[in-house]
Amino acid sequence: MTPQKIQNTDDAALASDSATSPIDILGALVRQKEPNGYRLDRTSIIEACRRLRAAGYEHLTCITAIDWKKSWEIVYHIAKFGSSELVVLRVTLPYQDPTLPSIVSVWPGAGWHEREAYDLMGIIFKGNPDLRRILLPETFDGHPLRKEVPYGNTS
Amino acid sequence: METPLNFGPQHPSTHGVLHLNMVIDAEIVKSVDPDVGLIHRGLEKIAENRMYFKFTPIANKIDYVAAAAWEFNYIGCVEKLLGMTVPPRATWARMIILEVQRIISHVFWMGTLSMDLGQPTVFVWAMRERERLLDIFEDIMGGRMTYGWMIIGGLRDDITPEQIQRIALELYHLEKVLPEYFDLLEKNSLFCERMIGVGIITRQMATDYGLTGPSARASGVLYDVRKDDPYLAYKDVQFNVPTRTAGDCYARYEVRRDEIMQSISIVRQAIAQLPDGPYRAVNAMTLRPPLALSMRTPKNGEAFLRTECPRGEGAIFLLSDGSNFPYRCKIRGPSFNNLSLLSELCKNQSIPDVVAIIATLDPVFGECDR
Repeated sequence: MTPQKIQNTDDAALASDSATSPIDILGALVRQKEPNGYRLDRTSIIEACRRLRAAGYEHLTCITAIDWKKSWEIVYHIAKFGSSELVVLRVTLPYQDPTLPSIVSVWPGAGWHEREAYDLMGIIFKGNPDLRRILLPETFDGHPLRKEVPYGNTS
Repeated sequence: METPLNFGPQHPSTHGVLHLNMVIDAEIVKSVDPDVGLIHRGLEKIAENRMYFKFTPIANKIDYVAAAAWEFNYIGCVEKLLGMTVPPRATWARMIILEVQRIISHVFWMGTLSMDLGQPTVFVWAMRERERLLDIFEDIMGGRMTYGWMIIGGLRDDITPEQIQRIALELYHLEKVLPEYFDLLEKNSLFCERMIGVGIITRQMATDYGLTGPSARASGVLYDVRKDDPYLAYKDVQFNVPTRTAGDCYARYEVRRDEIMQSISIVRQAIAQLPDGPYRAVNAMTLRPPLALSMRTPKNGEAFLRTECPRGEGAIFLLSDGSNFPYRCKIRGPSFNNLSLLSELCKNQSIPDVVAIIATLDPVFGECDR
């Protein structure tokens, strides 16, 4: 085995100029601070992600779409390397109009998460250049993770 | 002349069922459109339609190569949701199993990588070592590949001193034989030529696409959930996180190689510090119906637990509405993100290099397709 050159993440000084909290970074974009995250308007999601990434929250963990039957909720979990901090952004969408801007301009990797949310939940991400089904075949009818879709052998 | 080419899903080097829609010009790949989802089983929908504890055996099948890692991720997330504390013995025993699982997964990966790059000897030997570890897992947890050993609040069965000793002895064996296998790969110039400088992922690309795990750490991303957001007892053991900055296939190989050695050290420390005491909480959800059925979840509660799975950051996001069934269960598989990079990474590479790139990203389609 070759000599090991192992660095330790503990003393790896991450380039973080931000001693500021997420609320300072997001500022007026936050419509409401909740125990489980920050609620935003859908129009400000791109700007919020852009600011967070610039401030050192570099890792988009996942995008979750939730069907609350009367509305939709999109949850973004954004992490910071070298820290246990996790910023949770939440956007509520009216049930009749499940559209919001895509954040692929900030994280290209968000594209697949958005495709998954579109595929399984039917959320439309405007600005995603490639919003196709990803897990299910192109010919599939409907969005199976919606609560209105029954579970089990119904066919 | 540009020609469309279907790469996979039955190709052995696609590690399961990855289908790449390629456009090639002679040997050079012009564009790639990865087509995932061939074994999509709707696990999130399944989770929403059964009681919490009934999803445990299915959580094993999220990633069938490292089942214990996902079993813990799910169980740990439910415990977090319920605010349940787990006895220290269960915590440390889980950590032993998770790290042995990481060794198994990386050894298996080393085998498949060498198979893809034309070294079947290492494949056969790696499978042999993996089998010895799976025997121990069968002894402890009752299954080779999928376990159902952890329950909400502890463990189904305690781990005995004899089993601990078997693990400890096996570690000595691994320390002896693994460097031989590494030598077989590293001193083979063909292997090195196909790895060094191939498929370079820059740090920018890694953060753009949400890469995690060894693949990201080989590109200089210092992110390991065990260090950054410690779960179980990882803050009580000493270990290093191997990183590289080259970002090529060989760096990804080196990171995983070093991780095996770090895992061996973690298991040793955990065995030395394994406390006595009960192995499950008083209110643990054993499979006896009255207890499991009486489980009460908080209304509008939610829990998000990320863990360092062998392939990267796995996360489960649970929402509860007070009933026995999860309202929403989101599973974040590391392979899904790691593969989203393929279309950018494989551009203008030759076809044999694509094989090396896929092999070093180490995808498992159970957790990519879910």
